[in-house]
Amino acid sequence: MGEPFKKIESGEHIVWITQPNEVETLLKRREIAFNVAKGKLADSKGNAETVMQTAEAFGRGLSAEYIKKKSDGWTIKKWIKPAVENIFNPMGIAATFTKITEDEAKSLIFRCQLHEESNEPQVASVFTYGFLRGMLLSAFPNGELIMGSTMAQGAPMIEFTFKANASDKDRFERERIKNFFTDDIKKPEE
Amino acid sequence: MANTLIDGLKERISKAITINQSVGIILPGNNYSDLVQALFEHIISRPEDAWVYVTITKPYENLIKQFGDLSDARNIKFIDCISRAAGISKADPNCIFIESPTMLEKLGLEIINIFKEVDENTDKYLILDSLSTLIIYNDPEIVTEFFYHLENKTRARNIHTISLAIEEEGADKYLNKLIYLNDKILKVRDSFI
Amino acid sequence: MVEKDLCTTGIEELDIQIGGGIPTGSTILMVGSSGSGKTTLGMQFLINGAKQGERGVFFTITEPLFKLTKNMEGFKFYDKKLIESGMVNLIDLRIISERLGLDTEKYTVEDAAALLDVLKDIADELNVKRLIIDSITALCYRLQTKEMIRDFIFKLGASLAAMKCTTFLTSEVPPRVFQYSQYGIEEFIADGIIFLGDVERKGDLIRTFQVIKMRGTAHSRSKFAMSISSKNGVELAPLLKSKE
Repeated sequence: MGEPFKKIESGEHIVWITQPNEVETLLKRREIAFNVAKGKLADSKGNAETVMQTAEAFGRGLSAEYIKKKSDGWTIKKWIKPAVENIFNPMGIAATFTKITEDEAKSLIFRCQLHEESNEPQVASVFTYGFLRGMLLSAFPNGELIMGSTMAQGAPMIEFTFKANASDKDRFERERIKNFFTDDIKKPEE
Repeated sequence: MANTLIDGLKERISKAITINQSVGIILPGNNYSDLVQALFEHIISRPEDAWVYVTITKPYENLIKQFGDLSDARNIKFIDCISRAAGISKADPNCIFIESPTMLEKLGLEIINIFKEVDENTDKYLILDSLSTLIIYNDPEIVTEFFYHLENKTRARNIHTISLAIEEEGADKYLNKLIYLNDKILKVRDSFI
Repeated sequence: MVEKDLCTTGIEELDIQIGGGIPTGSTILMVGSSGSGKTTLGMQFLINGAKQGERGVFFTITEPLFKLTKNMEGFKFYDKKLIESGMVNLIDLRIISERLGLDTEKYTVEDAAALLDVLKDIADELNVKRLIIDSITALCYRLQTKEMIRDFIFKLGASLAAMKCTTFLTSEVPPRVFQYSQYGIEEFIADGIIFLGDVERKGDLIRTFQVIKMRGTAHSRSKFAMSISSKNGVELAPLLKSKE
C-alpha cells in the first residue's frame, strides 16, 4: 500500500490509516445525493429502502467514475487502494483499516463529516452504508458490506467489513441494517 | 433515558475519582457518546481542577464539535494522538498533537509536562481515551508497559487517572488485564445501576 | 562518606540516571550519527550550566557559528544574553587553526601541541567549567596517527580535569551502526560514553539515548527514548521494550 494510507507496521501486526484531504466537488455531490435521499425518505413516509437505493446508486456512480475497471478482476487488496485514494480521502473520511486481505477488509471510520454534521445520524448511517455498499458491489457483485458499531448509536467509530464473497448469513445484512434503523428514522414522524 | 444515564455516569465518576487514584471505565461501544458527554459535563462543573484529555479514538476537532462547550474552558488541555497520523491536524493552543499513536514515550512526556505547569495545590486529572484504541495501533505488550509507567508516574505526582476500555465481541485478554490495574472499575450498562 | 563533585546537565531524567550528575572534570564522548541531537544536547548542557553560574565554551569545527546560533534560536532554552555576557562562548576552531597557521587538512605533532595549548589557555583564561568540542571526529581526522589522537585526547582531558572542567566531545558515527567512534580510540580515553541512536517502531523512527559508560557513577544502562522539542529541548523517557 502507498500514499493513500499511513501504514503502521510491526511484524505481522499492520494497520493502515487513510489520509483524508477534502475535495469540495465531491463533498458537494455527496451533500446533494444525501438531500435527495432525505427527500425521498420524507415522500415515502420513512421508508428506509429509498435512502438505501439512492445511496447505492450514488456509490455505483462514484465507482464507475473514479475506480477504473480491472481487466483481470479485483481482489479486495487491489481494490482498496483506488477506493481510498479516489473516494475515501477526497470525502474527508478518516478510517483505520485493521485488516486487508485478498478477500476482506475491516475498517473503523473515526471521522465522517456526514455523520458528525448531520442532524439525522440514523439517516446518515443508512446512507453511508448504502453508498459504500454500492461502491463495493460494483467491483464485487457477490460481495457484501457488514456494519458493526456505528456513530449513530453512540459508538466512537463506524465499523465496516468489506467482503469480496458474501456468506449465506452475510446476505441478510442489507435488510438487517434497513430494519435496524427504520424505527429510529420513523420516530420524528410519529 | 440518555439524560438519566449521563447524570448517573457523572455521579458515579465524580464519586469514584474522588476516592480512588485510578478509575477504569468499561463500556459498550454504544455508550461511548454518553460517557464522553458525562465526562465533559463533569469537567465543566469543576473549573478549579486541572484536566488533561488524551484522545486516540477521535480527533480533537471532532470531539469538540460533537461534545462542544469546551472551547472556553480553561481547566482542560487535550493531547491528540490520531489527527497527525491521518494528516488532519490544525494547530490549536488548547491541544498538543502527537505524530502517531505509537509514540507512547512522547505521549508520557507531554502528559507530565502539562501537569508540571499546574499549581501544586490544584487537583489533577487525566483521561485516557482509550486503552482499546491504543491496542489497535500498538503491540499489546507495549501498551501494557506504557500503562504501568504511566500509572507509576501519575501516582507519584498525585494525578488521578480515568482510563476507558471499549468492549467488543471477543474480549481482548490484554485489555482485561490492563483495565483491572486501576483501583476502581466502573462498568457502564444501559440499565444503569 | 565523601560527597562527589557532580556537574548536573539540567536534563532531569539524565541526571537521575547517572546518580545526580556527571562527575566534575570528566571527559564524555557523545556519540551519534548526523541529526541525532548531539549539538542540541551539548548546547543545552552549556546553557544550563551558564544559568548556574558556570562559564562554558562551545568549540565548533563542523558547523559555522552563524548556522549554529540560527539553529539554536528556535529553542526556548537558548538565551542570547548568556552568549552576549560571555557566560557561553562560541568559538570556531577553524579560525583558530588559521590564525595559528596550521594546515587545514593534516596536523603535525607540533600543530597538535599548539592547538592543545590554545584550547587549554582559553579554558584557563575564561575559567571555563563546561566545554564542548563538536566534533572530536573532525579534529581527529586532522591528526595523522592513532598515537597522536590518543595523546591529544588524553592531554586535553587531563588538563581540563585539573581545571574541574567537564567536557563533551561529540563523535560522529554512521547511522544504525553501534560503534563509538571513527578511529576506535576515543572511547577508551573518555571517562564516559553517551550513545544517541534511533530505533524503528511501526514505521516511525524514535530517537534513543543510552549511557554506555560513566566512570565514577553507578549509572543505568537502560535505553531511553529521546524527544527534542523547541519548548523543552532534550527530554528523556524510558524506552518501551518492543519486539524489534
